[in-house]
Amino acid sequence: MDTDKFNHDQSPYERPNFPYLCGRGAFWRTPCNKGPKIDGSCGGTRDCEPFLKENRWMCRRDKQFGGACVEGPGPNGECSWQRPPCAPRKTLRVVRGRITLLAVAAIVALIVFSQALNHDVSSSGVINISDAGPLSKTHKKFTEGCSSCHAIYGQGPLGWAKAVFTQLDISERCVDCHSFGGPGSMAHNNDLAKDREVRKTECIMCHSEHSGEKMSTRQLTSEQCNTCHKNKFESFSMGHPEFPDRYPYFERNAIKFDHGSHLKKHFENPKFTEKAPTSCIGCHKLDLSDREVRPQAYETICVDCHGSQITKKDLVLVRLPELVNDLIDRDALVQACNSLTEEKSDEEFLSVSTEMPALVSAFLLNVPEDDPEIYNQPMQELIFSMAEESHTAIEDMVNSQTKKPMGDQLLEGLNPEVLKRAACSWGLNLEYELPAEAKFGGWYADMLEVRYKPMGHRDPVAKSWIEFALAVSKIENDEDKMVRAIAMRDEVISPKEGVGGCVKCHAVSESTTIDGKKKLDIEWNYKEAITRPHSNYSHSSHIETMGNKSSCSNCHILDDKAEYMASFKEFDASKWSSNFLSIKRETCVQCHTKSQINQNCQSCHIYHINPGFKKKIASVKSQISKIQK
Amino acid sequence: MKRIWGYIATAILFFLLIWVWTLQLERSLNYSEFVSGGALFFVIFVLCIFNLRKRLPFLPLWPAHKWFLLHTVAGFLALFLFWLHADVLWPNGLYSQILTVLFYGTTLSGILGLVLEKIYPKLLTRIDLECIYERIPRDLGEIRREAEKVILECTEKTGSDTLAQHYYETLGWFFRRPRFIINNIFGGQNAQTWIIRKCSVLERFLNDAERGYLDQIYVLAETKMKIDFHYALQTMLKKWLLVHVPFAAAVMVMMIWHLIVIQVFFI
Amino acid sequence: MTITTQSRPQRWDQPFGSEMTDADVERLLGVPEIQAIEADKFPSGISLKGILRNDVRIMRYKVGDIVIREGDYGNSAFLVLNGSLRVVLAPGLPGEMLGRRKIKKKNIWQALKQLWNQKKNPEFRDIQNYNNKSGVRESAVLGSSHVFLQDVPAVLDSNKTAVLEGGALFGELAALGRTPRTASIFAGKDSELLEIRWQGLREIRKYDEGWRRLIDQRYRQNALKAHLGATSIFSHLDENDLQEVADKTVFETYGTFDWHLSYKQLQGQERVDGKKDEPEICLQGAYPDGLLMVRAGFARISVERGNGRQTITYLGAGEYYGADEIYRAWKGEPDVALKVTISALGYVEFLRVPSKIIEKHLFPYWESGRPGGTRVVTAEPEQRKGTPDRKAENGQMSGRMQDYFDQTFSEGALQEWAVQERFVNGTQAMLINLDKCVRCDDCVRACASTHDGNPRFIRHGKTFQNLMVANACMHCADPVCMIGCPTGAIHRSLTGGMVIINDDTCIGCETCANSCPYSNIRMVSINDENGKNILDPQNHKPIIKATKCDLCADQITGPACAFACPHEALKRVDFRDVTRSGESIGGY
Repeated sequence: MDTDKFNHDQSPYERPNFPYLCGRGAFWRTPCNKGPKIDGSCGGTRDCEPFLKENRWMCRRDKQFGGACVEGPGPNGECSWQRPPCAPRKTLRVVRGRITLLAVAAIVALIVFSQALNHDVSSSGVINISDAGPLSKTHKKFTEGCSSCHAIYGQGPLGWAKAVFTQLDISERCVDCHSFGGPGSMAHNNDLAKDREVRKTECIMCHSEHSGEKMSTRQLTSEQCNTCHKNKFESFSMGHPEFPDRYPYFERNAIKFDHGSHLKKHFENPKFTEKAPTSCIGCHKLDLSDREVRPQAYETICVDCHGSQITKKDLVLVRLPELVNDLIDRDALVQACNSLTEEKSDEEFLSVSTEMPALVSAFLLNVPEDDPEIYNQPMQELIFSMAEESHTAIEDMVNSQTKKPMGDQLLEGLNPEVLKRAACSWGLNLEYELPAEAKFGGWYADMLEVRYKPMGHRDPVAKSWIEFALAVSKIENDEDKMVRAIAMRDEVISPKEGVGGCVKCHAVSESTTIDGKKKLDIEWNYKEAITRPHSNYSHSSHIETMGNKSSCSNCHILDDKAEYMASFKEFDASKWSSNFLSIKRETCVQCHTKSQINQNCQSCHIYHINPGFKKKIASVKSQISKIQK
Repeated sequence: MKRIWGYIATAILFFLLIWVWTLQLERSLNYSEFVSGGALFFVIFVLCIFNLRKRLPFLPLWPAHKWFLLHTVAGFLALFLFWLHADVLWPNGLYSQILTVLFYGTTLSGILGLVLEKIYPKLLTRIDLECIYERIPRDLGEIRREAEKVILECTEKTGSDTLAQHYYETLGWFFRRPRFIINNIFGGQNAQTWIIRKCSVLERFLNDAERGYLDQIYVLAETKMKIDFHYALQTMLKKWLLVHVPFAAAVMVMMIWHLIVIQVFFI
Repeated sequence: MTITTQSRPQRWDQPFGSEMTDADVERLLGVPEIQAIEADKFPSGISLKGILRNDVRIMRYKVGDIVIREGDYGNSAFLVLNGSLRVVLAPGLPGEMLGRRKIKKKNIWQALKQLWNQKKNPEFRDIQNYNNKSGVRESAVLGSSHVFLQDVPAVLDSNKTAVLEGGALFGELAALGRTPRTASIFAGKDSELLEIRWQGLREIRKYDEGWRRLIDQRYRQNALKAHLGATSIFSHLDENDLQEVADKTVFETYGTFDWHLSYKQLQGQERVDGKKDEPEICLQGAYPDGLLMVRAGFARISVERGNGRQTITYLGAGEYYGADEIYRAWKGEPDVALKVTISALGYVEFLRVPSKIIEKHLFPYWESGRPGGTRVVTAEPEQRKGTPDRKAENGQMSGRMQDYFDQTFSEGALQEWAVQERFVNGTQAMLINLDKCVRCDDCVRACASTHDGNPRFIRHGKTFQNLMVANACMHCADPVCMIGCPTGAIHRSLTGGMVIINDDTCIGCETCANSCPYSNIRMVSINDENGKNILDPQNHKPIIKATKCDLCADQITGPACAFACPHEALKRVDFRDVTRSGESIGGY
C-alpha cells in the first residue's frame, strides 16, 4: 500500500471545517468518495450522475476517484456504483461544540432550577446554588433562613436587579440582634479617636459566616491594629506601649492587708506559724481566679488570727461625765428606777465621774465634751430620760441626725434595761457595777459607760455606727457640730479604739456625690476586679502553666519600701502605695515574645465592649404577663 | 524554551503584585477578595479569548503560537490566583464547590493536554509514517482490501486455504478497525507483540510460497499498526479538548453567576 | 511474471497544433524566414517538415487579443505570418487588462467580514461574476482561449507601442531562457502567427546556423549585457568593459527544459546518485575554466566522499562559482583544480565568463579594496563560528566557504534530501516540524477561512526525519507550472512575487497541475449554491478550476497557516535559509 499518495489527482483537499464525516467510516468500512452533503445527508449513494450523450449513457465519475468506470451506467441511466445511504456523523469539533453547549445549559438549568425551587425564604432550600457554605452552629439555630441576614433573599429577579444597584451592608443586619456597649460600627465599639477620621468598621471585616460549624473569626495581627492605632508597633515584645504606672494596682484596696508585714513579719512569727498560710493560695482562692485571684472570706482566712481583736473594742455610747451639780429630780428618779429612796444629801455634790462625756453623746447632744458647764444639764437630762424612758431620747436624737433615720440599726439589740439600770445608778451619782463580764457581746453598761461590744466580725451595730459616724461627719450645717461629728467619727473609726477595730482593716475613702458633695464611705467588701473593657488577663491559665506554689511572686513582687498602711491614713483613695511593685511589660515579655509564647493582640485584648443581645428574655416575660391579663 | 521565560517572568511579576496588594488589604481589614478576584477574572478572560483568536486567523491579532504560550502560562497563573482568591483548596458551600470542581477540571485537563501535546508528536514522528486523521478509515479500508487480495491470491496460487483460514479466525480481527487503542495511548507495544505472535504461530503450517504471502500480510499489518498508533494518539490529541472546552465554558457561566451572587448578596 | 507492454512514446505523439495539415506545412515552407532554413541540415528523425508539422501551430488573433503578457512564463516563440502586432513598451499594461486580478490587501473590516463569508458549500462560485469579469474569448480550439483587451484604442492612445509585422520573430528569449516575457504584445489588427514551441525552436536553432546566429545575437543584444551589468561583480564596470565581458561570455544550457515532467516519472523509481539525470557541467579535479554564473535554474555543487558525492550546496539564479580557484591560480599557486563537481538540477542556464576576462576586470577591482569589491576567502580552514551567512549580496558563496566543505554527513543530510527532491526550487516551502505539530489542523482551517471556506493545501507531503514539506505551493524560483498556461491565469504577481492563479480566467486545462513536480496544484470542481457541481452544458462534465496556495496575498496577516499554528510548527521557508543556516534539524 502506498502511504505517500500526494498527487493532485489522487488526493483531494481535506476540509476540517466541514461538519460531517461519512457514516460508513464510522463503522470502519470504506467511506464513500463524495462524502456527506452540507445538509447532513449522505452524498455518496451514487458515484456519478450519468450523462446521456448521443443516446449513450456515459459515466461522469471524478477523475480523482478513478475517472469513468469500466461498467458504465445501466441502460436507464442508473449509476452502476450505488450504495444505500449512510448516516453521516458529526466531526469531533461539532461534538465538542455540542458538549460545550450542553455543559453551559446544564449549569444554567441548575441555577435557574435551584432559584425557582427556593422561593421559601425561611429555609435554605433544596440544592441551593447560592449556598455559600454551612452556617455556624448558633446562627443556624437562631436564624430563620437566608433572609435573616440577606435582605435580598427570596425577592425574586426584580429584587436581585435592584440589589445590584444598592449598596448592601450586611453588618447592619448583625446589629439587629447583637448589641454592644457602644456603637456597633465604630472600632472597639467606642469613639476613641476623636481627634481624627477613622474608618467605619463592619462586622464582616473579622467575622465570616458560612465557614462551618465554628464561626470563623479573623486572627488579628499587630499589623492590622497598626492601621488604626496612632501608636504603631511591631509586636508585644517590640514596641508595645509600656504598662501604665501603677498597673495593676490602680485602686486602693478596700481591705487593708499589708502583705509586706504579714509575709515578712507576722507569718514568720513562731506564735502564728500554725495559723499562717504557707503560700499565696492559702488565702487567695485558686478556683475563683480569673482577672484576679480573690482572697477568701474573713471567716476562712483572717479569723484565726484576728478574730479575738474585734470583740475587744467597744463603742462607748454614753459616759457619765464629770458633772457640776446634781440636777436630777431624785424622787422621779427613784420612782423611775424603782429603787429605795435615799434622800438627797445636802453635801456638796461631788461627781463620781471625772471623765468626759462620750464623744458620741457629745455629738448627739451637741455639747462640747470638755466644758462641763455646758454639758452639765443636757447630760443630766439625758441620764434622767434614760432612767425613765430608756433609749427613747437617744433614739430620737440618733434618728434626727441623718436624713434616713438610722436608729433601728444603731441601737439594734439594745435592751432597755441596760440604759435604765445605768442611768439609775448614775442618777444617784453612783457607778454601775456590772454583775459579770460582758463577754458575749452586745449592749451593756459598765461603771460609768454604756457600751456596745461587737459580737464578732460583721457585727451589724458596729457597722452601722461607723457608717453613721462617717455620714454625719460630712453634713455641714453647724460648724461646732461638725467639729464634734468629726471627733466622734475619728474615735469611732480609729483602728486602735474604734468599735470593733473595723477600720483597722476596712478602708475609709472619700468620694464625690452627683451633687458635688463629698462623702465618706467605708469599704466593707473586697473591691470588684477592675474590668478594663478592652483588656483581659486570665490568672487561671497562667497558674496552670507556671504552677501554683510560687508562681505568684513571678509577677507580684513585694515592694519593701512601700508605705502601705500609711497611705490609708488619708481618706483620699488616690494617694496610696501598693504593697507590690507595679507589673512591668518586661515581666510578660519574658514569655510572650517572638518564637516563645504567642504574643498576638487577641491574647490580652478584647475588641468589643460588652457584647450581648438586644432582646432580653426577661423583657419578653413581662410582656407575656400583660398579654395574659 | 527561551521564548516562554518572558511570559513566565511577566506572570510571576503579576502574581507577586497581586499578592502583595492583597496582603496590604488584609492588613487594613479590607476585602482583598475583590482584587484577587478581579485579577482572576481578568486572567480567565484572557484564557477564554484564546478560543476567539483561533476563530479569527485572518485578523492581525498576534501570531497563534504566542497566544498559546500566553494561554499556558496564564492557565497556571489562574490556578495560583484561584488559590489566592479562595484561600482554601476546597471551599464550603455548594456553589463554590461546583465552581471549584469545574475550575480544577479545566486546569487538570489543560495540564493533561499540555503534556500530551509535548510528548505525542515525537512519538508519532518516530514511527516514520504520516497520516491524516480523517483519512484513516479509507486507508484502513484499502489495507484490508489489499490483505484480502493477498489472501485470495495465495489461495488461488497455492491451492491451500491455511492462510485464509488463519485470517478468518485470527488476523482478520486485527484488520477490521483500529486495535490496541488504550495500549497505544500509553505507548505500549502490545500491537507489535500480537502481530508477531499471530503471524509466527502459522509458520509451521505453511510452505515457502505461502510464507511469501504471509510476509506480505505481515508488511501490511505493520503499516496498519502504525496507522493504529496514529489513530490512538491523534484521537487523544483531539479528544482531550472535549473535556477541557466544556469545563471551561461551564466555569465561565459559574463565574458570571458568582459575580451576580456577590453583587446581590454582598455588595 | 507478466510483462506489461506499451509502445514506446514518441516525441511527436502529441503535436503542438492538432489541426496542422500537410497543406499548412507546405504553406509554411513558403514563408521567407522558413525558406531560409537549410532543411538538409536536419537529421532524418527530426526533419524540418516534421518540426513544422508537430512543433508549430498557426494561431489566429483578432484585434485586441493578447498574445503574450509581460511577466508571464512562456515556452513558445512566435513568428508573424501576416497582420500587425503591437508591443507595449515600458511601463507596460496594468495587470487587470492582461486578465490578471489586482491583488490588494484587505483592510480590517474586510478581513473581519470573512468570518461571515464562510461559504457552507465547498468551492462555491458565483457564475454571474465569471460572466462579467472574464475577458476570455472562447475558441473552438481547445486550449487556445485568448484574453483580449477590452479597449484597444484607449490602450494605444495611452501607451507607447512598437509595431511588429510580418516576418518578425519574438518570444524566443522566454522560450529558450526560462525567463519571464519582457513585454506585453497584442494584436493591432487581425493577425496570423506561427507559434513555435520551444522543442521545435531548439531543434531549429541547433541545426540551422542562420537561426542560431539570429537567436544568439538577439539574446546578447537584448538581454545579456543588461543582465551582466546588473550583477554585483560586474556592476563596477563601465560601458566598454561591460561590452567586452558580454561579448566574450558564453551562453550554456544544461538539463532539460521540461525537467519537471521527467522528474515526476523518476519519482516512482529507485534513485541512484543522480548521475544519469543530472548532467555534469564540470568535475572535481578538473581545470577551472572560467567563472560560472547561473542565469536560470539550479545547479548542484558536490564533492566526492566515500563512494558517492555529498552535496555541499547549490547555486540559484544570480549565484556563481569558480572565482576562488581562478584567483588562486592568478596569484601563482601551482596545480589549482576545481574543488567541486557542478551538475545541473533539472535545468540550468549558465553564463561562462572566461578566466582571462575575470583576471582582467574583476580581480584588480577586488584587490583595490574599493566598496563593492570583496576579498576572496582563501582555502585555509577557518574556525567554525556559528552560522554561515545567508546568500551574500555579491552572489558569491558566502564568506565562510570552508564551512561548506566541512559539513559532516549528518549536517548535510537535510540539504542532500532537499536538493534531491528539488525543494530548493521553492521560496516559500511549507515546512512542518513534526515534533511540534499536534495534527490539530488549525493551519488548514485558517487557510480555509481566508479562502471562503476552501483550504488551499493539504497537510501531507514528503518527510525527512522530523520535517515535512507539505503539499502547498512553494512559489518556486523557477515556476515550471506557469509554462504552458494558455490564458496566463497562473502568473507571478509583480508585487510580492508569489505565484497566483486567477480563478476568473482559468479554463481548467490541468496543465499547471500536471506540470507541478510537487503536486501542489489541485483541480477542483466548482459548485453552485446548492452544492451541486456546475456542469459544462455540452458534455455534463463538471467545470474544474486549478487552485493552489496564494500565500494569502490579499490578507493583512500574510500566510494564515503560519500565523495560526499554535506551536510554531509550520513555517514558510526558503530552503536556502534552512539548509545554509547551519542550525540543527528541527531547530529552525
